[in-house]
Amino acid sequence: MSSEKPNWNAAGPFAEMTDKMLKAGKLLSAIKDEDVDVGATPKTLVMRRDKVELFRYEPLTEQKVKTPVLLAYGLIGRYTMADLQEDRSLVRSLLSQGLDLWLVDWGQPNRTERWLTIDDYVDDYIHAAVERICRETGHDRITLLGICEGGVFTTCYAALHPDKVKGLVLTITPIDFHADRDDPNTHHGFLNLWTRSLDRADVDRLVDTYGGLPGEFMSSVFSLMTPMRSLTKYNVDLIDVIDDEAKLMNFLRMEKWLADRPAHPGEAAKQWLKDLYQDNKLVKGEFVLSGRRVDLSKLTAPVLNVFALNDHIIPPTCSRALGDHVGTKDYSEIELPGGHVGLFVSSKSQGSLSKGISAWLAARD
Amino acid sequence: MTDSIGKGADALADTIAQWSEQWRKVADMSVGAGETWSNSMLPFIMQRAAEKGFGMGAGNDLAEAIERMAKGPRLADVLDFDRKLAHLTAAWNELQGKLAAYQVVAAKPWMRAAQQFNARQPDEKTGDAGWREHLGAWNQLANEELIANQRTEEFLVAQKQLLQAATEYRARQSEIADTIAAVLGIPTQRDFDEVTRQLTELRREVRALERRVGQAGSRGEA
Repeated sequence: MSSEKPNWNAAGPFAEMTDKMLKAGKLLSAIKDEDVDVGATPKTLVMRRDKVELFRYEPLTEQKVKTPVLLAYGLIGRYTMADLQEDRSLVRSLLSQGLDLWLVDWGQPNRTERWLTIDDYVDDYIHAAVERICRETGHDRITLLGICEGGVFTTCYAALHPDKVKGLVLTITPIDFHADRDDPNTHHGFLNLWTRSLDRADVDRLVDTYGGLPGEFMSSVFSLMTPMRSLTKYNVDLIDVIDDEAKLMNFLRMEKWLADRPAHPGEAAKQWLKDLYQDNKLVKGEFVLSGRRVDLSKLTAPVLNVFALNDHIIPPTCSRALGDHVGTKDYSEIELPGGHVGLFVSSKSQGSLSKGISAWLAARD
Repeated sequence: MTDSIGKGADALADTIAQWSEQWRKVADMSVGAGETWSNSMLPFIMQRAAEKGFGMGAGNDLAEAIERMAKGPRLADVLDFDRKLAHLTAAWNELQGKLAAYQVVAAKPWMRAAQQFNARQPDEKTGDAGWREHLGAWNQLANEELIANQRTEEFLVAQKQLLQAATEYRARQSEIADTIAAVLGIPTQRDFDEVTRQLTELRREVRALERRVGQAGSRGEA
């Protein structure tokens, strides 16, 4: 054990930190909620079904890919991650490359949506959205772009309704929920491990008691995955960006997105946690929606599977597994550096994700 | 230093010397605290104590009395609300016990990280770098230990039991709220769930019917 003391000049940094904290307090009190805009790319409401809304984004340039693309996020968090701010937006990037982009927004589910199942999301809401887009645009098939849990929904839809799907693009989507065991990175896959550690009755009891999977509860599980980052976020990290307005606004937009975490509808949460995370029914060919088995070999449309190599929430091995199960020979993968959220919101990944997707789409239009 | 004080010292100097020695011992103890923790029976005893709610949860006389009340014979409506309150209190006791047990397991990686950080040579601790570099090195080390701990069976079990206890407590709270609502003639959570279940099923039926009608129409059937 060394008795040498670190050579810190504590007075200087302490004074500097104090100044910055005072400055942070002053700045934050002057910023209003409406100043921190997320999901701001202009779009038009086309259809409302219960709390679910279908939007069409306004074009930013001449249309280059004719086939409409429907963006579907999951029920954990909201789609605004894909449209965080003007210079960090998958939505804007895709529009800039001439896509006809649509969005299905699940809204803010709460206890009212307790009884909704994944069957409802896939065979009712997504199906209704696809039919409406086809009617509006004159196409008989469209492309689906799923993110995370939304990727599972669109995968199921494409397998059950192959006649409506021209192409399937998946991003950070889990397919083999037990493939975290093949990922040697110990920072990856805690969600898989944690879910498997629960009894099935725990999931039922949790959902029945709260009427869904509370958003704050999932937030706390996600915080566990990056423990020190979660502890230093509001002191060190915030202080670091306080002098840079652009970085501060980026920080606040991320916070706004993170805080906007509706409850996961109850019965759908049971399917998500028990049928998929615990029993891994999707790759086993045992996942049943609306009385029909979801057979991944029925995925005959071209598939692009994009995943992040440092995704601690959805380990890349869980996404990559899709390649072994699809029925199409036109299957491609794009693996990108970065993490689950960073893939969409980091300055480094801007461009590479949208260019990869739009080039793939243009080649198959 | 001790010698020089001893030689020419007056009573006050002796006292100061004794204080210094005590402080040195305390400092030595604190440096070795992590090691002491790991090698001693402390973690085991703390775990056991936590499971018993440090004497405040299930296991003491009061908690046992509440348990007996909660689980006693049910006599129609007699004392029903009191029994529900007893259930709630028992669930609270259980939650506190599981929370304490979880905190013991969750504290272990901090001790391990502190032990490792202290054992590092000055150059490994980023030498003469500023506090940010030291904080960064500490964060990295603590992060690894915390993540490794989360993957242990012990942590997962503690967390599961905490979740079970928290859910049970919430369910007991809802039971009380429903009882009060029923007395006041206000719809209960169960009533709401029943209405939304019927609404969801009704929507499904209507939409299935719409599809059938639409399909029949597109086939030109009357």
